[in-house]
Amino acid sequence: MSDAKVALGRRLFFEPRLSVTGNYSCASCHDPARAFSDARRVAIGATGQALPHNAMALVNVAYNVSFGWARPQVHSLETQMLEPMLNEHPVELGMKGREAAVSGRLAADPDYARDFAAAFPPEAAPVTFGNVVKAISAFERTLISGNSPFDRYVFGGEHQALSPEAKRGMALFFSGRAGCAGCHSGFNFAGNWRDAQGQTGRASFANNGASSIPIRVPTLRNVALTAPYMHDGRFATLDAVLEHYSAIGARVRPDYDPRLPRSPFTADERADLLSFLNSLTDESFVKRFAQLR
Amino acid sequence: MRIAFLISSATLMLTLGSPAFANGGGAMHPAPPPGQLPPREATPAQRATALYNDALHLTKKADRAQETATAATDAGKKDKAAHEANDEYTAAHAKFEQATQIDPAMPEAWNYLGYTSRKLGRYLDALAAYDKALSLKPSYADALEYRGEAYLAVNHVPDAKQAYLDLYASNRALAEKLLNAMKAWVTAQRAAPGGASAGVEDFDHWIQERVQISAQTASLTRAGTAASWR
Repeated sequence: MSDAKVALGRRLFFEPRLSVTGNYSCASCHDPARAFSDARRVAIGATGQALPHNAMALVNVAYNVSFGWARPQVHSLETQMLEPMLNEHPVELGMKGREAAVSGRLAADPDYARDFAAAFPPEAAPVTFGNVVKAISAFERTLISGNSPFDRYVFGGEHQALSPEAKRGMALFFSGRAGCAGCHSGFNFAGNWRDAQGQTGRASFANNGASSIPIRVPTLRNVALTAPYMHDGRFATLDAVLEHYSAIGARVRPDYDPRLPRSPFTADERADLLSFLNSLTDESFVKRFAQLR
Repeated sequence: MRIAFLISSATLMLTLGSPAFANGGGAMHPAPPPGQLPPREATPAQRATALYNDALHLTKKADRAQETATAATDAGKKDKAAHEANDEYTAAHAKFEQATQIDPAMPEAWNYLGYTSRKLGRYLDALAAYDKALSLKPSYADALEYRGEAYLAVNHVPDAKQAYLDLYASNRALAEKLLNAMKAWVTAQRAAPGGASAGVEDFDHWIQERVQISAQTASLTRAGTAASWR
């Protein structure tokens, strides 16, 4: 990580020349105004093909143990990024077979030539596909969010930062009855996380009641900005998500994951939970990146 | 009602002070055992380490005597143990002071200089020593906790709150210890002649909310996360 590498990665994140159509970039599916997600049910690639999953928000990804919705074995941003760049079925950015050509085009741009040289100083020919991936990863590691009303309440000691409704919702969220924090645990509300000591352990995958296979537990930070929801974007609103888990609570079976809700939520409880989830929105995070292009 | 700023009587100090003993945040350094100072050709760092280890040994003895004094119901036994604690803290304090003079870059010695200063009722000296320890090692959780207790002793409630919040984010066990010291502080304020002020009652509400937040958010910690993912 260096300032030069992050600055280069930031520019590349919005660079349409990376795509096969010349009008698509990482930001086409990871919009800063939506906590780096998009508003579509599932992501759409540069050529218009639909992906199987909803575009995941990029929030505190530097701490992720794994990446993507369904593949626990992807352990780094650099590895994950090869997927949107090189995938052919479906096409995302569509760089497969064009890596050298794209690098050549960027190298011919004097601004990029200067910025790559600054970001990768020992290299004689720094404009490479590998360095594009490294720089974008460096930028993504700066997408740190931790200044929501929840943070100010819990970590900042501002006891007025949450409304009474949000406080009730928080109590329910962290209770065994609702079970939300059974999966959405840790500072990022995404289960296990990578720490400075590198004690990463296993990524947190769980049955969300809407998939036949275990699905990555996504962060809930800024979740109010990242509709639609679930790995396949099946729910348009957070209230619909809460209704989904409430319905699970209403028909508990012995084989259910014990962390799932044990009883349905009342309308008031759903409103309280919603208020709590809204308190996870970090306006400063959105403002910090909203002007980027 | 302010707690007396300087308390010279060990008995009085033990009556008012919360039963908070050394956190163990400054483990013995690899050096000769207590009482065996290294030869004169030892480096300053080695001499400071030997003094530190000697002083730590005395501090633990003093802590045990203070525990005895706190638990004793017999006035004579309480007084005797309190004086023993005072003597041991005084001896330890002198050695920690020497250690910091010989090796001013040793955060553990500054931390325990603060600890023994606080136990002797020298709260401003304690705060200065903790400041020094934390300037050398900003993430030193034990010093943060001790400094929080020292802030309470001089009624600097906003600073004590901040110490708690710093610990809450980094070391829940020590945050809990400071929270208990805060509860004891409120109890002492209420028991004092004239009772507690509105500010003390506000602080108590803050403490009660922190207790609730802490109980709710165990799953935010690594241990809490690990528990839910077994």
